Amino acid sequence: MKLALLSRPALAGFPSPAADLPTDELDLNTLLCPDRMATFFLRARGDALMDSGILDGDLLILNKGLTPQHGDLVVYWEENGFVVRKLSRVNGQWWLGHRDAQRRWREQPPPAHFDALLWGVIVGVARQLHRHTAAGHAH
Amino acid sequence: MPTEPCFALLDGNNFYVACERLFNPALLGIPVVVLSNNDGCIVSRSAEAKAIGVPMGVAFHEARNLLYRHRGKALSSNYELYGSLSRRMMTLAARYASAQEIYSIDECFLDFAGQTDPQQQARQLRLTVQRKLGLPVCIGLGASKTLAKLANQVAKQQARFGGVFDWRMLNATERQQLLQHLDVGMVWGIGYRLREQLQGLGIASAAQLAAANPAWARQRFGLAVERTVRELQGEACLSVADVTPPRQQIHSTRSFARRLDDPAELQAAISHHVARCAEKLRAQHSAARLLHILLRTDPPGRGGALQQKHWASLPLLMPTTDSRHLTAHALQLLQQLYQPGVRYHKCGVILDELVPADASRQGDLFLAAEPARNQQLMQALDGINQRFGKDSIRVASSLLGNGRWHMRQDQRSPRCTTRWDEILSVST
Repeated sequence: MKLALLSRPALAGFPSPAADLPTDELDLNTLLCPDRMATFFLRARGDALMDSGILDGDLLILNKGLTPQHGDLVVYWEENGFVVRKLSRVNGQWWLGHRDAQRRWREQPPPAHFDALLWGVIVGVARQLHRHTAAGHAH
Repeated sequence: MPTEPCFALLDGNNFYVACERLFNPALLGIPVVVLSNNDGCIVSRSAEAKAIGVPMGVAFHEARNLLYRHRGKALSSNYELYGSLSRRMMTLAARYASAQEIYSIDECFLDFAGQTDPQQQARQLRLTVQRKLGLPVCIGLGASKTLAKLANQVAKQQARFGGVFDWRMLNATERQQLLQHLDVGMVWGIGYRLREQLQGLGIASAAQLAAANPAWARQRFGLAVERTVRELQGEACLSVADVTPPRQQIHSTRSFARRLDDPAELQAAISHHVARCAEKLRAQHSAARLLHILLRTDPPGRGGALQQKHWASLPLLMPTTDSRHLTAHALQLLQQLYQPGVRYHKCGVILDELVPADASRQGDLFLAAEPARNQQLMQALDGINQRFGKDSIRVASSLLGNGRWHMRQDQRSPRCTTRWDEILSVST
């Protein structure tokens, strides 16, 4: 025979109907970056990936451990800075796309040694709409 | 059936340089060095810097010309960044073992006993750290901690092993060959002085030490060297210490950016060191019963004054955790040591005779106990500084002077994993 063990002291009166439900509050970290050790944050500059949902000033959440797939937004090192591009694969050929200065969609093949230059895959975007959500204004 | 002991030593390759390169790939392929506090000495070198002959530990100005001639780069140390990446690396490593002992910022021992395939496990771990953190590591495996450490050196020196070397896979001849080519000073636990003594007795290589009689080693040098001999012979004498005991002393000391004689600057520096020590003290839930400060000039041979005393101590009747009390006492001690006109180059604070903080509440029979509200105030202080950044709230004496004692960090990279305002930008 099995007996359930109640860890909660027996109280006279009406027990809370919520007492046996999960107690952890929702935490954005568990949703947006469950793989905490491989997660890095970056600040997006420019509007060239607006169609993919990235605006100037957005906080990008990157996972360094993932293998990039068709359709992913990837970060890699180019000359002297990090850039983010949309990765696609057409007939076995990889392409990196974004909008150019004239706002036309451009795609180019990855540079030589792309594997060594690739830094990670963007897995989320966080955007603050009100000053009060900034760090230090929690109350 | 008892399981065979198996230890792993994981070690980040040129760790500080690797951390810098992670966020700045322009540093790849060129000689790079990282400098100590105050940009004084070289504390980490890339393989390229080693190859052109930049020595470890020397003052930077001695190697500057050589480095720049080869288009190398020198960086200030960014300990906040290295500490953050170290914590991540250690967290990943801990998932692969039944016990972990963090040995230094870039090194840990792991207990691999009972693993079906320790070598496979080590390769997997190395790959995980590389993929998730972008940091290269080497792993040595052995039947004792001392052998795991040696195996790690082999893994580092010989690229053909792919970063993982297992001492247990060698046969007796191969072991002998490796040990013969290894200076006895390379063995874990054999420092400079011991090496000289051993050499005087004709023990110059690790092989010769491994062949020594443990009983003789104990009689001659004590328990530690006997253990080293046994461990070299493949007997595990040390285990992976899972828990680091709370520190018995807490220090914060540092050389100044330049020589100082202004008392206000010295007060600011001492106050800063008290703040750092007190934070660590409260983080490990201890209270201090003894406070030391030290204040040093250059030795007379190097242009400094002859210093009567560079050390002052004060027993604290009531063990305390309170930054304000500690600061006040430390400044009194400073006044005792300080001599007008003398130029100092280093100062520091040491908290000693630590006791559990709750014991400090009991107080002395004749003195009032440290009031609970002081502890609450310190809790609030630490909480605010953790959330809003170091020194958001501090004891005002740390702001005296013009901040000339501060670390020189001309070339420090952004602290991009710990400060929101320093995260990297990426262009779209």
